[in-house]
Amino acid sequence: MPDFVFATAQYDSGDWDSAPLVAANIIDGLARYTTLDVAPTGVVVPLGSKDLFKYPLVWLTGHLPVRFTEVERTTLREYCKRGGLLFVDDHNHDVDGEFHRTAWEEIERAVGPLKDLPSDDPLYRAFFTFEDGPPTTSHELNGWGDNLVHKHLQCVKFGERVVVLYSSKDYSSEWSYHPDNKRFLSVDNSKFGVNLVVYALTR
Amino acid sequence: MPSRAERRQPWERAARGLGLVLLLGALVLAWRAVGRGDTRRVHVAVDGGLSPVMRDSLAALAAAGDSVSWSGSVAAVIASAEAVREPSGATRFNVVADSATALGDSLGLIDSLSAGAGTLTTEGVRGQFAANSSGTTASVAARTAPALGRVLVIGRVGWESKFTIAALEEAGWLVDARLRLSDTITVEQGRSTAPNVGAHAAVVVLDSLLGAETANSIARFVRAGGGLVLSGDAVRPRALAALTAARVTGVESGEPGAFQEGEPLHALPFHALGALTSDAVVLETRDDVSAVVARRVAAGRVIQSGYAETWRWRMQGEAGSVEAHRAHWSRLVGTAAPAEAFVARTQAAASRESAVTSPAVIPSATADPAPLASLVDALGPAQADAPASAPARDPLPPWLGAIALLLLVAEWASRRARGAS
Repeated sequence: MPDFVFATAQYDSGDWDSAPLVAANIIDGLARYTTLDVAPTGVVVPLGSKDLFKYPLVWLTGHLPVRFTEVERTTLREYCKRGGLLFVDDHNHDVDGEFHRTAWEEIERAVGPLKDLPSDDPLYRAFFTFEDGPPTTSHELNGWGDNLVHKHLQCVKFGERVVVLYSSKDYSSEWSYHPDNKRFLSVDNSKFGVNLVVYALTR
Repeated sequence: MPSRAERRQPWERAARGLGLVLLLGALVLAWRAVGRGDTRRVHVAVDGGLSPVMRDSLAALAAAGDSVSWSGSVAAVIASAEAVREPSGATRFNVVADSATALGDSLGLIDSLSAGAGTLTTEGVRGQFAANSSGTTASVAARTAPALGRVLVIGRVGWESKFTIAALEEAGWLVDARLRLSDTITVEQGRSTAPNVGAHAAVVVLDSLLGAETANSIARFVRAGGGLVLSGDAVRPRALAALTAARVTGVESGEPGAFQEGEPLHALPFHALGALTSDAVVLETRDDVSAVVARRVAAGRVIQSGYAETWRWRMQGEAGSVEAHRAHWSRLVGTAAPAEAFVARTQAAASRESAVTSPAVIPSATADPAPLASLVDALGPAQADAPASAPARDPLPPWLGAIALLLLVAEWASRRARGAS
């Protein structure tokens, strides 16, 4: 079995499948820059199922209000206790949006309150170096959504270990394109996705 | 005509002579008593056991020539303690008893054991560990864990490396790591990423693709006394084949559902180990197939574990699997950690710790690990009944001295009365 399989969380509420090409893009980055044994396609895993524990890094995104079921909350809590890492990205890029408000509530209810992740965290040096913290997205720079450039990601930690990472930067939009189209970019904008996976695999 | 004083002289001589004869007789009787070896007899009725101090006192009497015996009921219960070679500070207590036994320390009951042999691994024992069976208490001091060296994990970036490091760190090991991410990039953790017996107790290898330089440094490390754990896909790296005790004779995938059935090790992919060398020691089997094998190589030890993707145990197992996965890895590394270095570090650590805070590491003079065996060793086997008490025979009749004294005093008084010196 491959060392790494990219998994997208499927939750009962909302549009969990709003960024279907993110998986392909990150897998492409891992294959391009590392020798990780990575599965060629991603999987979708229900947040409330035991299959969640097969994938210690899970990606979660959406635009719509999030309301976890009790089973999803319990499963997510146990998943984080055992060593799993959930990455949540606001596909709206809007701190006043429904996804942002409800996702924060649900994460706090299931795991704990979110706090800013410092820009000097090892996440930003796990593979590529991002001196200023999380890289900006075109949605931030173009003033879409909440018209803010978010300086930090947020996280929940158990001890020293990050168990939930939260992004308001809308990487779901930034990275949801076919990997072949990277050839039209002067700089690969999905490099931070490689950092995210390497960080999860080593921390 | 003889005077009155002259008439008393023969009587005085006679009294003196008789007194001296009686004293001489007493001396002869005493000499004979010593020659016959007359001894005191001591019998002790024991209920449950004797304290080590009392037992040693009686043994001293017996060694001095007294006849010491005992009778009564002392249960056969034995306790021993060994330090767990892991950073947890735990002690493994082994208890054997012929009836139900209560296990505890100075704070109270810890656990219980039915008749037979049992093992209790625990930490934080206060005072002495005691095993009480039918009123007899075997006691032993806890042995605290040593100051072990660090662990170096060599692998490739992946879940197995991540969760192996996590398990070892959670168990208290200090972990250095060198994880291969690409042909040119290695992720490093800790302060020393080359095997070094001065710093590392053991090396864990999780990557089957070892370079020649790394393999050579590991081989040198093992021959110098370091421990080596080879696991999963790296259970027999080609570059380290000369160090290993077994070859992989088959690869089995994990059994679906085994986690839910309480057989987590059956749920893991498995490299069956066979073709063992003559010095191989099988530590664990799965379905009668060798799963964990060890051997000595020069001053070091090499452990091969056939279980792969053990991280699934931690993530997918039932309740308690995080702790079980942690214990699995800590035990593997503790088994490989060098014994001699362990002893040396233990002594150094004990001397340091005893000076500071930990009275539990100081062996107690009153420890009594095997009360019945010690009693039999000191005083011989129990007698069925107390021996009938024979009247004590004094070698010297009490009147003998009194009469001798009376005669000599009378003779002296008579002489003084007539003015003789």
